[in-house]
Amino acid sequence: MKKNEILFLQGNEVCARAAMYAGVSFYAGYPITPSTEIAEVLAELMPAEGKAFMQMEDEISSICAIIGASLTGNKVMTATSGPGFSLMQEAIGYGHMAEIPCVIVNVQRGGPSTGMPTSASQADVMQTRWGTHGDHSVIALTASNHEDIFAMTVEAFNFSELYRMPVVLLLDEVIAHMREGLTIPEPGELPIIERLNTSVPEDSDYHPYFAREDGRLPMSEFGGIHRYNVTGLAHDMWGFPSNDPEVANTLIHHLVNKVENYKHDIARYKTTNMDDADIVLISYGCSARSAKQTMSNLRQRGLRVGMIELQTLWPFPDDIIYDLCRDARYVVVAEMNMGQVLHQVKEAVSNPDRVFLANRVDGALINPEDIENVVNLLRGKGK
Amino acid sequence: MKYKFILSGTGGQGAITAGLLLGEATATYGNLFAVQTQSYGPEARGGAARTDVIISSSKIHYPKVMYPDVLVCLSQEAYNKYIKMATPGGLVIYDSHNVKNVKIKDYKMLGLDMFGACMSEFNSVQMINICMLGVLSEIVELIDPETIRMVIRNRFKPSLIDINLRALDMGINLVRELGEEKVSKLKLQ
Repeated sequence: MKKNEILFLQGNEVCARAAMYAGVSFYAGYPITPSTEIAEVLAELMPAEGKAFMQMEDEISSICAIIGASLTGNKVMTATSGPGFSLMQEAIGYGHMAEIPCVIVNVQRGGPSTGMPTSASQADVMQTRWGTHGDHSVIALTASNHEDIFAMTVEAFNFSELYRMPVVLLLDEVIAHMREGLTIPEPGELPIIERLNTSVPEDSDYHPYFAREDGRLPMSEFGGIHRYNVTGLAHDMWGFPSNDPEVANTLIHHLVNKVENYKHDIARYKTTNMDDADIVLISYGCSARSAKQTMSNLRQRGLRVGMIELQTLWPFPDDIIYDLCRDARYVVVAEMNMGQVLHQVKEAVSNPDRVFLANRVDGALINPEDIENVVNLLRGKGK
Repeated sequence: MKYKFILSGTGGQGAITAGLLLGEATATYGNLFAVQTQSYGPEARGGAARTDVIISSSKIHYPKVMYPDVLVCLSQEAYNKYIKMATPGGLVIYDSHNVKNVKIKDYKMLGLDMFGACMSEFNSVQMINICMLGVLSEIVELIDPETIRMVIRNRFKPSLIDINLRALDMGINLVRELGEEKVSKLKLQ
C-alpha cells in the first residue's frame, strides 16, 4: 500500500483493517451475512502478522472465546449479525459483570429471528441496550461512511480498554457491503488506547476489581503471575462471589456510573447546518446518508433544515439532543426500524410532541424522498 | 457533476465486476468520489444481477441509484427486469445481440453488438463487461479511460492484462464507429 493511496473498499473490509490498526490480536467468530467479509479479511490479515484467528462452531463459543482471550491480555473482537447477536447476549452480560474488554460488531440485518439476511435494517438498537439482563450501562457506536467506520472501530477498541467492558459497533447491511474510497490513516494518526496492566508485582496481592483513583481497573494476564477469580456472580474486589448488600450495591452503581459519568467523553456526533435550523433531522448509519441528501435537497428550496448525525448511540447523548433541538419547530428521526431512537429523542427533548419518525422496515434503504415526504406532511404540504 | 449508473446482466457476464472496476478507477485514480453497491442474496443468485455506481465530483450521500443517467443491460433477462428503472431522458445501453425485444419509450436507446465484437476478436464473450466499460468511458466524459486502464493493469493477472486492454479499446471504437453526429447526441458531459 502506497502512502495516501485511496482504496476502494467494502465497509466490512474497512472495519477489519481498522481492527488491525487498533491492534486486535485475537478474533473468534462464526460467519453470518451481512458481516462475513469482516471475518474473511481478518482470516487473511491476522495470521500473516502472527495473530490468532479462530472460526468457531457458533456465536456462543465465539463470544466466550474472545472473553477468555481478552483476559489473557489480547485485544479481541468478534463480528456477527442479529441472530448471532441474540445468541451472544448471555456472555455479553458476563463480559459486563466481569468487566472484560472486547469489541462486538453487529452488522444489522432484517429481523426478528433469521429475518431478511441480505436486507438492510437498523432494528437492533434497543437489543444492544437491553439485550442482556440486569442493570448495566453499555457503549454502542455506529457509522455512515468508510472514514467513520474506520474511526469508530478504533474508538470501540479504545472505549473497551478504557472502561474495561464489551463495546458494540452497530453497522448495517448497506454500509457494510457498499464500496467507496478511503485513505487508511497512517500509524499514529488516530490515538490508540492500550491495555492498562497492573503494576502489582508477583507474590503480592492483586485485586482485579479494585479501581484506581481515576476509576480504571488495571488488569493482570490471566494465568500469568497473579492468581485471581473471575465470575459472573456479584463479586468483591478480589473477584470472589458475594451476596453482601453493600458489595452488590457498590458493584451495580459502578457498572452503570463508569459509563454514565463519562457520557460526554463517549458522545460522538456530527452537526450540519444547525445554526439556523428550524427543522432538525436526526439520523445515524445508512439512514444518515439519505437524511443528508434530504437536507441538501430541502436547503436548495430555501427550507432551514439542519442535521444531527449520531455516532454514539449508547449512552444516549440526551442532554446534547436537548440543547440542539431546543429551537426546532420539528424534529424528524430517520431510521430503519419502528422508532427505537425516536423513543430516546422524545425522552430527551423539551417538546416530545414535535418529534416525528421517518422510517422504512421493508429491507430497502430508506431514500431521501421518504424523509422529504414526512417533512412535507409536517409542513402541511404532504401528498 | 454527478452520474448514476445501473449496470446489469445475467450472472457470470461480469456486470458487477465492471461496476467495481469503474468505482475503483474513478475513486483511486480519477480523483473523484465513487460509491458502488450491488444486489445480494436470492436476488443475486441465478438470473439477472445488478450493481449501482455513482461517480461525482463532490461527496455522495444516498448510495443507491433511483434514477439512473445510464442503464446498461447485457442480457434480455436483465433488460426485462431492470428496464423499469430507466429514467425519462436517460440513456439505456444494451447489447444488441443478447437483447432483442426492445420497446422504445421516452429514453435514449443505444444498442451495440458487444457480444459479436467480442466473439469475432477473442472468440469468447468473457471480456464483454470490459468492452462495456469502454463504451461508457467514450460516452460519459467524467470517466477517463486511462483510469480504467490503470485498474486493469493493477487488478488483473499479467496474462489477462493485454486482452482486457484490447476489449476496452474495442468498446471505445464501437461508439466512435457510430459517427460524431450520433455520438454527440448521446454524450453526457
